[in-house]
Amino acid sequence: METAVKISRRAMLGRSAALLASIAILPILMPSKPAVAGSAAKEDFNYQDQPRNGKSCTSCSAFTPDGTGNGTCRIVAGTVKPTGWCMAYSERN
Amino acid sequence: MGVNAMQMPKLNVVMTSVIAAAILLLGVINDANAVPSFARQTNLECTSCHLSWLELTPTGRQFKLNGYTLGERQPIPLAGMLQASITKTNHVDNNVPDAFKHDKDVKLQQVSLFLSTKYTDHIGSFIQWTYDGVEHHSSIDNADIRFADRIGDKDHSLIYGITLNNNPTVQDVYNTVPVWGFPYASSSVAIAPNASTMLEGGLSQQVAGLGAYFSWNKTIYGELSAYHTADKIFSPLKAGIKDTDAAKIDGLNPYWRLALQHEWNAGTNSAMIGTYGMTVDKYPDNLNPHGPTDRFKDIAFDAQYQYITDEHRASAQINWIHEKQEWNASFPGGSTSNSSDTLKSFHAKATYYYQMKYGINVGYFSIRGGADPALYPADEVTGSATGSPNTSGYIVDLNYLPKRDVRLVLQYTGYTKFNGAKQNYDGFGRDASDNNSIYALLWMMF
Repeated sequence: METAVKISRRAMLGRSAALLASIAILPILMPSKPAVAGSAAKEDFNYQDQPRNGKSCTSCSAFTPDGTGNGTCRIVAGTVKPTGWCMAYSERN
Repeated sequence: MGVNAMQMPKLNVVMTSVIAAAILLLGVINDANAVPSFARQTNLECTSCHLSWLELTPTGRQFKLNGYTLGERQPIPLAGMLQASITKTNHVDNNVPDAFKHDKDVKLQQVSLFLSTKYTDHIGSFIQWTYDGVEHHSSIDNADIRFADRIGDKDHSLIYGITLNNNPTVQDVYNTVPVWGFPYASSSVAIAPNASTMLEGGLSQQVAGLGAYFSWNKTIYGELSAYHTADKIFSPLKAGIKDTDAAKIDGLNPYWRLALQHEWNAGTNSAMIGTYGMTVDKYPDNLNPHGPTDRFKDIAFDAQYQYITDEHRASAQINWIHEKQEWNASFPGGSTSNSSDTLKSFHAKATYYYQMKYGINVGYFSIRGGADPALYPADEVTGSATGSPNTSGYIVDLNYLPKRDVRLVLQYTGYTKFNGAKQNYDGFGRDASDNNSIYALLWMMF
């Protein structure tokens, strides 16, 4: 029983810190930058081309205009309309 | 323990300094939107994914089903959490001072660091590391690493994925299950009942679970996993947990989940009815994983309803777990009075939030089972005079969020029965209501 608890607090903290540092550095070591545009399906977020209750993609923090009159979204994949809306809507501050 | 009493305060100072530095670092990392890493990754407000954190909305459930991968990977994908609290118990028994040594003390209850991020478009993680300010100990907390993908078209869709986690039900997307159920925060120093099922924390941060899940047409949600002792390559999933506290389970232990879900009015309303369960073969001695095991068969039924708008948000959850305990190892060894026991655990909760800022939760809980004096021994304050696990009560908590990432909670827990009785439950004259408590909490996310 005694042998099982012989790790000192200092050693445990050291190991904990090393583990944390290792997992924190993982994303930095990832080979390629994943897509910035969203990858979710529009249907899964109830996307529609029309505003809902006066809210639309143009005022959503996840929306980025693409210069063609439409835009991309951090959540759903593909082209989205500035007049669109989905249930992830979050008003831009 | 390898460190003497004189060294302890010094190490606590070191630990506190490390935590303070981490918080300061996170403060520097954050821009004006001082929110956790998933919010930075998606650019969404906390309230898109949470009815009020930590209860998930349909958007939050989709984010989790998609493996935490939606949004843009952040260069420093860390987030932090701090809980400071004070607890006042209705009646302090001066004959048992150790049971109440933190009563009415302001405690740094918990500080957590999260590695919550997407790695690739299909792989993400939610990993929490927690410093317990009462026990002065830090270790891994909940961890869930996922792969997810989707196939289908406009009319038919299948989201599927793989989860590697260290706590049964941590991978679930509903707030009915034990890991994510109400109360979302509670006192770590109040007197606690003597019984709980295996699914209610019996294996938390001690095991490694690997499984596959799916969501079909947003209508059927299911999962099949197997849990194993977190050893060898999986030992990081119990990092910092003492061997004496880490359960050892025999072989692969199955866990399953099936739920029927429906959203309407573009996600404003959602409902779910489901079932889940697990069978665990556990060695009675954590330090000697050999010989016969005790078997725990848990079957649960749960249901949830949510109504979500900016102005008004409401939800209700119920969860019922039936556990059959077969003491194939403990009964012959004399640790239990019966060769088998049962436990039935029930939780119900209703929530209302106004303008996502002012909220109230009202909950009811009960756990019932047959008497087993060896399993639930008599002891002043914490024991049961009759060997009974029967406890029931209610929780009411008021929430105020002055900012979206700061929460103030005032919570009252009242017991109608405790460890078998309403009055004199411990045989030393203590009543269930003596354990009623008021808990005030400052809860911050960084």
